Amino acid sequence: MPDFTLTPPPIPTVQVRAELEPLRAQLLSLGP
Amino acid sequence: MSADEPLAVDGWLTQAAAQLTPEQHHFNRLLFAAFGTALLPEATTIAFATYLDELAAQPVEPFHNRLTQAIASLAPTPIWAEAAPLLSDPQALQQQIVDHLRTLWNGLLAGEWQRHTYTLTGMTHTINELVFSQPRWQALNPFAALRFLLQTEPTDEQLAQLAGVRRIVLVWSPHLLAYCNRFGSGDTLWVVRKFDPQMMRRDPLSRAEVLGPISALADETRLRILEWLTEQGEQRAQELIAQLESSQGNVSRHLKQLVGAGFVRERRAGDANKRYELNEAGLRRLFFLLRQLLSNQNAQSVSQQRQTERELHQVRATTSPLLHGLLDARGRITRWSSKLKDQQAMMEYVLDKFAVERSYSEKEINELLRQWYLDDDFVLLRRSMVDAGLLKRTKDGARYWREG
Repeated sequence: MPDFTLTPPPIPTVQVRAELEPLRAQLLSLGP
Repeated sequence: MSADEPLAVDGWLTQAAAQLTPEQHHFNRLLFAAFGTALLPEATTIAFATYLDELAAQPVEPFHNRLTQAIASLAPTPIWAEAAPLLSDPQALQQQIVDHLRTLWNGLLAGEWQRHTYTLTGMTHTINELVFSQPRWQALNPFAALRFLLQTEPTDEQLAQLAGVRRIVLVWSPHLLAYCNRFGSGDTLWVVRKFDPQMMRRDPLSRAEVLGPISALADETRLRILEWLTEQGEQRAQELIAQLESSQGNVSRHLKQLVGAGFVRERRAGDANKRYELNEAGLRRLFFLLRQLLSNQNAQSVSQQRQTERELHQVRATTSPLLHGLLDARGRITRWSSKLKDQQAMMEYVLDKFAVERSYSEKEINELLRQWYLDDDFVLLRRSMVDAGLLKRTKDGARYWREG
C-alpha cells in the first residue's frame, strides 16, 4: 500500500506580475 | 547575458544581427558576454536614450569597477582573455561601449521597439487582469509559476535560479523567446519572453461570471455609494449612513454586496469603525470581463469547450465511473485521489496501457506514466502500482514489467 505517513514539506509561494520593463528587454535584445 | 549560453531569439533579431559588420558583431558578443551584467541599469523605467546618456556621463572609476567585477565572475575563457586587456584604458572602453550601443540602438532597435511598445503595454495589462488576478495566482508555488511562464519544462539551470525567489516578474519582449535571470537581485526572478497566445488561454467566460458583478451595480443606492466614494475618497460607515439617510442595516447590506463584488475595499482602522473606499481594479475587471464575454475569441472557446465535453463524454462511456471525475477529454488522469477505490481503478486503468510480457526501463516507464497521468508526482503512482503488486520490478529498479 502507498505510504501516506510522509508529509511533503510546505512549498514556498511566489508573487507573479507582469511589468512593462522595456529597458531591461531592450538591452537584452541588443545582447545577441 | 551569459558567456556560454546564447539567448534564444526571434527571427527578426537574427536578421538584424546579420546586418552588423563583422567588427560590430564581434564587439557586441564580447561586450555582452564579458561585461553584460555591468550594463544593466538600476532604474528600468527610463527611456533607452536617457540610459545611454547616463552611461556616457558616468564617472570613469565606478563604471570601470563594475566592468571589472563583471569580468571577475567569468571563467578564464577566450572571451575573458580578449576582454580583460580592454580594461587597461577605462576611458576609451567606456566611450567605445556607449558609441557601440548608441549605433545599434539608433540604427536597428529604436524603430523596432516603437512598433512594439503599444502592443506590449496592452499585453502586460491584459495578462495581469486576466490571468494573474485569478485567485489561484495569488500564492502559487514557484515551480508551477516558472513552468507556466516559460511554457515549457524548465531546465535544471533555470530551476536552480528559483532558490529563495519570492517574486517573479514577467517582462514581454518581442525578441527573446524565453529567458530568465535574477540580475543579482535578492528575491526577484525576471522572466523575459516573447508573447505566446497559449498563456492567455482560459476557460470561456460564462454569463454568470459577468452577471454577478453587474447585478451588484444594478441598484440605485449602491450606485450612489460608489459615486459618493469617488467624490469623497475613503469614508467611515457612519458617514455613508448619514449621507444616504438610510438605516445602518440597509447600508451595511449594500456595502457587503459591493465589497463582495470587488468594487469597494473595506478596512478596519485603529478604532472599531470600518472604512470604505472605491476599488478601481474591480471596475476595470468588470469592463474587461464584459469585453471578453462579447469577443469572438470567447465565442470560439465556447465552441471548443463543447467539443471537449463531447470528447469527455466518449471517454467516460468506456471507463469505470470511479474515474469520471479524474480523467480529461484525452483520457488522461489529471490528479491523485485519496480514496482507495479510486486509486485501485486508476492503477488498473494505467496498467492497461502497458504491453503484457514486455519489460520497460525506468525511463520508459516514467514516460508512459507521464503520458497518462498528469499530476507531477507520477512517482507516487509508480510506487503504489509496485506496492499493490500490479507492477513488478528488478531489485535495483532498472526494469519494470506488468504482472500477468
